[in-house]
Amino acid sequence: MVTITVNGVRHEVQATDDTPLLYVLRNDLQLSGPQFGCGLAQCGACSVLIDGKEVRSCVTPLSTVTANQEITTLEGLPARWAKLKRLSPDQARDILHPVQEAWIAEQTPLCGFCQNGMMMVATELLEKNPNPTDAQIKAAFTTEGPSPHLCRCGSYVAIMDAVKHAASLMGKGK
Amino acid sequence: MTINTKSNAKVYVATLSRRQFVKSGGALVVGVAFVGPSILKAQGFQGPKVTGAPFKNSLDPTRLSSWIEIHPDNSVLIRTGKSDFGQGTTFTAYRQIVADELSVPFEAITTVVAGHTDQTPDGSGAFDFLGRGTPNIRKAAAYTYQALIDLASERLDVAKDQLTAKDGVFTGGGKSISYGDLVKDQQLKLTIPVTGDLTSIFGLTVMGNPPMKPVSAYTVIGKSHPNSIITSKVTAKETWATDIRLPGMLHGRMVHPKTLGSTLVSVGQLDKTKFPSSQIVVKGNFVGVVASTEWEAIQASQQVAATTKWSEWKGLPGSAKLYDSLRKEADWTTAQVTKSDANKGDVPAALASAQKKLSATYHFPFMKHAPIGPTMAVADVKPEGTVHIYTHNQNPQALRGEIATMLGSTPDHVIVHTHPGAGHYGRSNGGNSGAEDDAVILSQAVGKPVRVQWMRAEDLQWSTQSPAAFADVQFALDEKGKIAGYQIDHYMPAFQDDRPIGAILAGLPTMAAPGEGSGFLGSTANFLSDPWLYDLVPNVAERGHGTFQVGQKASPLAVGLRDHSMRTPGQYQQNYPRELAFSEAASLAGADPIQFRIDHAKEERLINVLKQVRDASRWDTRPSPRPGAKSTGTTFVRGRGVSAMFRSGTYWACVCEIVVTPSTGAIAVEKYTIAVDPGIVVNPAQLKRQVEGGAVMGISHALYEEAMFDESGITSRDWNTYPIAKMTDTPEIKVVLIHDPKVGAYGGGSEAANALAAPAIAAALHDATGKVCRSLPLKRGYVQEILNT
Repeated sequence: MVTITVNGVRHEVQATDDTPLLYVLRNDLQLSGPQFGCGLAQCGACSVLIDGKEVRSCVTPLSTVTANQEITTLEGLPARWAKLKRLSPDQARDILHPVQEAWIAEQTPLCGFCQNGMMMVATELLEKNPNPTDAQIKAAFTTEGPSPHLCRCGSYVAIMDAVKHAASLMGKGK
Repeated sequence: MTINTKSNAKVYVATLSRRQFVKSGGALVVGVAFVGPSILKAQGFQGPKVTGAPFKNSLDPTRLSSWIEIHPDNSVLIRTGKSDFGQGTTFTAYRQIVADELSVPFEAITTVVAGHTDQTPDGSGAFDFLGRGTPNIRKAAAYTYQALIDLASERLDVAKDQLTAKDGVFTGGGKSISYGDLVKDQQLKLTIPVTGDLTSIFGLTVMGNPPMKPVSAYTVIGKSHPNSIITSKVTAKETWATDIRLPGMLHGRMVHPKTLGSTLVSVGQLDKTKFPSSQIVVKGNFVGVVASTEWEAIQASQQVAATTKWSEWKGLPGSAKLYDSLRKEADWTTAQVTKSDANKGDVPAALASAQKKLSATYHFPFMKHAPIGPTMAVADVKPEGTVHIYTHNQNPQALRGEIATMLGSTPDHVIVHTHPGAGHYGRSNGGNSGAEDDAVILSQAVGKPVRVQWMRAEDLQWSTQSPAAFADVQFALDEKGKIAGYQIDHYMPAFQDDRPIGAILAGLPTMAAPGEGSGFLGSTANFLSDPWLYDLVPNVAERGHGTFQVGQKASPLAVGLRDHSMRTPGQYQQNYPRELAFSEAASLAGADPIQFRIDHAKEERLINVLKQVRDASRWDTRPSPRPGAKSTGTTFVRGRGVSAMFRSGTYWACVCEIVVTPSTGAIAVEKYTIAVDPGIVVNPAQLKRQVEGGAVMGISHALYEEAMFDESGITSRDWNTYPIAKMTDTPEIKVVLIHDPKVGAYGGGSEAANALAAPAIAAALHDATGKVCRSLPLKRGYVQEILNT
C-alpha cells in the first residue's frame, strides 16, 4: 500500500512499488489527463507536476513519490489556481486555470493528445516566469525538460499563442 | 401513445411521413432509406450501386436516431459517421453548414453525435469532410429544410414563396411559427435516398439534389465559431478511447514477431509466481499476453518476448538500397500504367527539339504516420458473438466489416464505439488502426473484455507507413525559355493495405493483400492524384507505375512494408517531384519561380494564390539561385522557394524561407507563408490552425522524417530514431486565407499544407546554395554531402 497526494487528495493505492506513476493515475485513480505516449520520457504526453515541477509520469516509479509530495494533473489545474489566488470555495467553483482558459481561447489543440503535457509545462513556466519571451517559451517546451514536448499535429504556434494569452490572463489575476 | 393521424408527403425525392401523437414531445427525425439502382435511375441518379441493406446495430431507416433531429425546444441534434481526428470539422464546420441550410443559429445545434456505428448514419472516413462542398450532412439538412417549409406553409396557410426563415422561425403573411412548434406533438420522419456500401471506405452517399441555400444567404458559415470538443479536452472532461474501462477488463500486450517475415518457432516462458494473473494467448503467429493490471501485462509480455523463438527472415532491401531495389528489382508490370487526364501533345518531339532540358530523378522516403499515442483499443466479445470495440478510428464502419470478416461473422454482430485519441493522419481511414483486431482476438480467447495498448516501438515497427516513391522528370524549354514539354513517370508501391495485422498473424480471414484482388484502393496501380496546374504547357505526359509493397511477396506472412495513405496521400509523392522540378526548370530558364508558374497558368484562382503568397512573403522577384549563393563555408546563407497545389477544391501556394549552414548541412526554416483559396472559408480561425499544424508537419517531414529499415523490418523504434519537429523548429508562419464566395463551394483545408513544405524548402536550398537535393528528407548528412560535391 502506497500513499500519494493527487490534486489535494490523499489516496492509498494497491499498485506495486515499481509501477510507473502514469498507470496508477490512469488505472487506479481513473484520471484522464496524463496520456501514454511513449513510455520512454521522450514526448511529454504523460506529464504531471510534482511540487510544481514537470515530471514524466511514464518513467516515474510509484516508490519514488512520497505522500507529502503534491501531484497535480490536468484535472487539478483549477484547484491549483484557486489555491494560488486564495479563492473562497464559492469563488473557486466552476473556474478554470488561466492556462486552460487560454488553451480554449486560442483554440490550441488539434487532436489534443499531447496537450495535457503542454499545459503542464505552461503552468510550470508561468508560475516561475510570468512574462516569458518567445525564446524562453521555446526553451521551456524543448530544451529544459527531460525531452522536447512533441506535438505531431504541429500545434506549436497555437501553443505559443496560448502561453502568451495565459500570461496575460494571469497578469490580470484571473 | 396513440397515433392520431398518419400521412406521407414528397419532399423532392425524399418522403416525409407524419404521425401525430396525442401526448407531448415529438421531433422531426431525418432518416435514411436505401433505394435500389432502379429507383435511382428513375430519378436520374448516376451513382454507385447500393450493395447492402443497413445492418442491425446500424442506424435503421425506421428508427429515431438518424442524421438530424429538430426538437420542440428549437434545439437541433446532428449525427455523422465522420469522427473528429483533430480537424475540428465535425464540431465546427458541420454545425455551421447545417445551421445555414436550416436557418438556425450555430448555438441551436446543441449535440453532435459522431463515429459510433450504432448511432450514426453514413460511414466513410474522417477525411474529405467537406466533400468538395457538399458533404452528406449538408444535403440531409437541405432536405430537412424543405420538409420544414412544407410543414410551415400548410400550418400557416401561407404559400412557401411567401415564407422566410430566420433563427429557426418561419415568418410570412403576417404569421410566424418556430421549427420547434412545427414538430411539437408530432412524429415526423423524413426519408431520404442514399446509396453506397456502409462498410466500404467511402461509406454511403446522400443522393438527389435538394435546393441548397445560396451562398449570399450564409450567416453562420464564414465565422470563427469555437470547437466544443477543445473545451472538453482541455478541462479533462472528455472520454478518450484511452479512458475506456469495462467491468472485468484485462490489459493486453502483444508479442510481435522478430521480423516482418518471421513465423513462430516456440512460445516463451511465463513465470506465474511473478505474474500470477497473466496468461499467454497464441493463435498461429499471433502471441499476446493478458493480465489484470497494465503494469503486469507489460512486464509479463516482455518476459515472454525475451524467450519466444521466431524464424529468421531477411527479405527487405534495407533503407540504403531502397531506391536501387525499387528501380531495378521491383516488378512495375503488375498493374496498368496510369495516365493523366492532362496528357496532351507530343512530349518526345518537344524533348527532341528542346533548347534546354532538365532531366532528373526525385526520391520520396517511407514516412510514419507516427501518432503521438500508439494505437490502442478495447474489445468485448460476448459469448453469443456480439462484439463491442472501443477505439479511436477514422472509419468505424469499415472496421466493422473487417472484424466481421476476421471472425467469419457479419457486421450485424460488430459495434464500434469511436472516442477521441491521437491523430494518425489517414492510417485508419480504411478501417483498422492497429490494435482493434488484437483486442478482439484476445477478448474472444479469454472470454473477457481486453484492452490492448501497443507500445511506442510497436507503433513504429508494426503499423503501416506512407509509401516510398521515386519519379523521373523531364522538362523541355523552348528558345523563349518557356516550357515546351513536361514528362513525369511516378513509381510507387501499393499505397493502401487495410488488412488488420493481428488477423494476418493469427491466420484469420482478411481482405486480399494489395494487388491480389483487393479492389480499387488495394490494387497496385499508381493513380495520378496531383492535378496538373500549368495549363499553358503545350505538351504533357504524366504516368503512374505501381507494384507490390516492398517485401510483400517475399515475406512468409505476406506483409513486408505495409503501406497506407497518409495526409495528402499519393498527391504528396507526386507533387514533391513536380514542384521541385518546376522550380529547377525556372532556374534553367533564368526566370523567377513564382512568375514562371504564373506565366504557365491559366486558372485565375491559381494565379491569385501565387500572387497572394508573393505579396505576403515580400518575395524578391528574381531567378534562383540567389546572387551570392554558396555551397561551402561555415557562415549561413539564406534562400527561398515556392510550391503550389490543387487539392479537394482548394488552391494552395507556399513560400519557405530558410537558412542553411553549408559546412554542416543544417537547415532551419525561418518563415513559412501560405495562401489558401478554398472558395468559401467556412471557419477562418479553425482553418488557420489546421494550416499552421500542417505547415509544421510538413517541415518535420522535409527535414527529418524517414522510416529506417534493415533487411528484416523497421528499425525506427522511438522518437530518437524517428525524430519529428520540435517547437524550436517552428518558423514564423503566415497564413493568408482567401475567401472567394463566387466559387460557390468550400474546399478542404486539413490536408495539403503538410505536402507543400518539402518542395518549397528544397527549392529554397537550391536558391541558397546553387545545389539541388532531390531526395527527402533533407537531413544534415545528406545535404552536406550534396553541397560538397
